[in-house]
Amino acid sequence: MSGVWTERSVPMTDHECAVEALKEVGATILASNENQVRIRINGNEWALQKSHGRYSLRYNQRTVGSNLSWLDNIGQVYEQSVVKKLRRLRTEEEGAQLESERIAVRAEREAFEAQRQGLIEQRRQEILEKAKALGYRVKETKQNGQIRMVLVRTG
Amino acid sequence: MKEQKITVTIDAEGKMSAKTNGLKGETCIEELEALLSELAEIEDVAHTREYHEKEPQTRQHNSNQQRIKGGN
Repeated sequence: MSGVWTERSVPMTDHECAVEALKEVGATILASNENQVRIRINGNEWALQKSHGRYSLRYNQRTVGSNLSWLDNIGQVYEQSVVKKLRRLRTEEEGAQLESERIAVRAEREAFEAQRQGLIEQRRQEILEKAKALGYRVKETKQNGQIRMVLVRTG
Repeated sequence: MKEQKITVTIDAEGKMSAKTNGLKGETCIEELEALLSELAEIEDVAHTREYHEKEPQTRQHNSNQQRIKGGN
């Protein structure tokens, strides 16, 4: 084995939950829309751009030092926010008085749940395409909601 | 011809991880960057003994960790 890498935090796909999580870790929201969230935290300003289905932060690891320590907790806080939003949507759906209201909330819940699946599928597809372009053969398995892609090349 | 292998895992929350086998030195990082850098921040790659092996003779038997860059 020559290298092991793990993504720093859970990818944030939902705007509302991302904003809530950022506030929770101490950020002040300076501007926010579906494509970008600008924040100030610990005296520094950052912009999170929606790219490849998730909010991502551009930075240079060599220059930011420990200024990014807030990123270490955000994945967990974001997950709590996701669970809370899902619970709220389910409660609203169950408690809706009108059928039209129920249908609207259900559609919102389903779209919310589909975001993450969309990201996973997008990532799978992009890895598959890049792997093939780089000359790898790909063997893929799925187990308990986890996708495992084994890329092999003889070089 | 030696086999080069990368195992990429995407968990149920969409979080990715990767392990490489048979890739030495900078090639390990270059391959991970080529494959994943548009999708995630490729940093904090933990290197094992094989990373430090030069093609084909020099060896250092220690593990290390190197932050390579911030991503997108």
